[in-house]
Parts: sequence; C-alpha cells; structure tokens
Amino acid sequence: MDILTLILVSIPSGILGAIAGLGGGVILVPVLVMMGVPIKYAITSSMVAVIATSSGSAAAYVRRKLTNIRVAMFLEVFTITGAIIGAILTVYIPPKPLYFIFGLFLTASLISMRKRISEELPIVEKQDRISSWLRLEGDYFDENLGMIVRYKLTNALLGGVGMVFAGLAGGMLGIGAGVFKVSVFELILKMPSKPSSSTSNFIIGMTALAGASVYLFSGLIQAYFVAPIVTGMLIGSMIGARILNKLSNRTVRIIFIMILLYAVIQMLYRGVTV
Amino acid sequence: MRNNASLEKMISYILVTGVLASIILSFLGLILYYLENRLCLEISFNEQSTLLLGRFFIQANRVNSYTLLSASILIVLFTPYVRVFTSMIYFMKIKDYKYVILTFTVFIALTIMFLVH
Repeated sequence: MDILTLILVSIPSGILGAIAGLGGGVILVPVLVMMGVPIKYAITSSMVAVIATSSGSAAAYVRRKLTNIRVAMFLEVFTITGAIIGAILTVYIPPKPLYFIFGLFLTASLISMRKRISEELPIVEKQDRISSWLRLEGDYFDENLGMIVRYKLTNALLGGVGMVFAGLAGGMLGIGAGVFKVSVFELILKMPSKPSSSTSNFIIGMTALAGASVYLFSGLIQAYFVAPIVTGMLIGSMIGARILNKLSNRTVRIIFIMILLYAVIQMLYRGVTV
Repeated sequence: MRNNASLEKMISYILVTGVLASIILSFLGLILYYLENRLCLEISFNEQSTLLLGRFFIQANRVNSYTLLSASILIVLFTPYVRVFTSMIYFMKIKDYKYVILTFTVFIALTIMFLVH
C-alpha cells in the first residue's frame, strides 16, 4: 500500500462525509479493510480522519452560515456526555446486542426519512420554550433555491436526549456517529437538511476527538498511515463543502438515506458476525 | 437576535488555520518521507511509525518526516479543542452566560478526558 493510493481513496470519503454530515468514517473503514488494512488501524485512522472532515468542511460551512454554532454548542454537551458514558459502558456491555439496538434506531430513522424524502424545507410553526430561550434558530443563503432560508428548531430537550444516544453509539462502537446526529437534527429538531449536515459535521469532530484521544494515548495511531488519509479527507471535505449548498435539500436527503441504508446493513451484519 | 457574525468569523479563522497548517505539514512530511525512503512511497505498520506524544516532543526540534506528519495529525486533533476554548471566551466577552456554561461544560469534559488518559 502506498501513500498516493491512501490520499486518493480518502478524498471521496471526505466529499461524501462533508455533504451528508457523517464525517466519512462509515465509508472509509470498509474501503481500507478491503485494501487489506488491519481493522484496528482502519478504525483508528478513520477516527482521526473524521475530525479532519469535520474541521475541513466546517471551515467553509461556518463562513457561509450553514453551520448553526449555537445549536452545535448546545448539543455538544449532550453528545459528549453520551460519548463518555458510552466509553465507560463498553467495558461492561458485550458488543453484539449493541449493534442490534443501534441498528434498530437507524432503521426507524431510515423509515422516517423516507417518508420525508420529497420535503424541501421543514416548517416549525411554534418553538418550544427551551428552544426559544436558547434561540435555536438561524438563517442561511440557499444557493439552490436562490433565497435566504430562515428556520426555527423545536423539541430541544428531546433532541438533547437523541444526542446523548448518538454520543453513546459513538462512544460504545468507536465511531463518529454522524448518521445518528443527522437523524436527530432532521427528525426531532426539524432542522433543514443542509444546516443539519453542516452542523452535524461541526459536532462530529468533538465526538470523534473523544475516541481519537483514547487511540492517541494508547499508541494506536500510525503517523505514516494516518497522515495521507487525513490529507485526503481534508481535501475531500473542502470539495464537499463547496458542493453541498448547490444541491437541493431533497438530493442531500437522498444521499443521506442511501448511506443510512448502508449503515443499517453494516450495523446488523456486524451484530450477526461479531 | 444577537449577531453571531464575529463568532462565526473567529471560528472559521481557527478552522482554516488548523486545516491549512495540517495540510502543509502533511505534504512536507510526505515529501520528506519519499526522500528518506529512497524515492519509495510504500508504507508499512511498525512500532517506529507510531505516534507517541513522548517521542514526538523528544524529536520536535528535528525536521524529519515523523515529526512533520505527527505535528500535522496533532493539529487536526486539537483544532476542535481550540475552537471550544475560543467560543467559551467569546461568550464570556459578550456576557451570554447560558452559552458560557454550555461551552465550559464541553471544554471541561474534553480536558478531563485528556487528563484521564
């Protein structure tokens, strides 16, 4: 395996990760394993690479106001809490049932997302009190629609619970858990697809950092192997960040649903084979 | 609604700086790796290429592929940490105490996580 190949295979994962709000680990790990990389190095490198996608795409998204920083800051508290609890629980709970539990959650998200596939923008008539108190709202210029989209979020507390669950999944399975986060944004908080993807990408770096720090201090990061992947993911995520705002919300959702379906299959498959 | 423009600008600046610094160091490190290994781009997994903080800081004053690539990875890892800290300072400055508490909680959780390891 050589450095150029690693950079090249990481770029598409970075692009898709940035567009769908997933970080890209869910795509990268199987590709690396197929290339013959030992699973432990595939997972550790993907964790660092997810942080790269997060920062690479967020650099552009924040500037274009696609990322909602206040929403991100509020939900980070929950996802970090979940990630820490998850990392502790991993010691006590066997992985097999976890894959089924999380697989079930993703299946429910998949069904709900499919129902909303043709919806361009969600409408929240009235915010709940906490969402309003925390000013969970925002606006961005949608290049595809050619207009400024203003949106308000709702169900702040339930969204927080969802984020704890996303953090748990991240901490217990050693993943960035972007599929969980985007589902919470879209289905519970009623955020439009593009800010959902970009805000999820922003937060995902924080959850992945929790996992990556464990690998760093355990000496599981191979510098010569991880650096080209990080470089490829950074380049890919910057390309993806330029593409996202030009797509329709429906297209973003379709891309997400396809990756979600793949994640469900992967999760259940691991549940059976682990 | 209070304007977030300066926070967005500041965070964007931190992220762009982190990303660019990481890419530049990574490219330089990979070029050095190519030269150090007699024009070979093949990599293998071994103990020598493991990123260890202790080893990195001992070698930090030397310019070689290991230190440059390690620095590139460490910058990627610590960029989100820096942006949480900066956001916390920003919210303190504008006296938005709800968000000071939220960012402070995240910052402390991350710091404890690092210290525990």
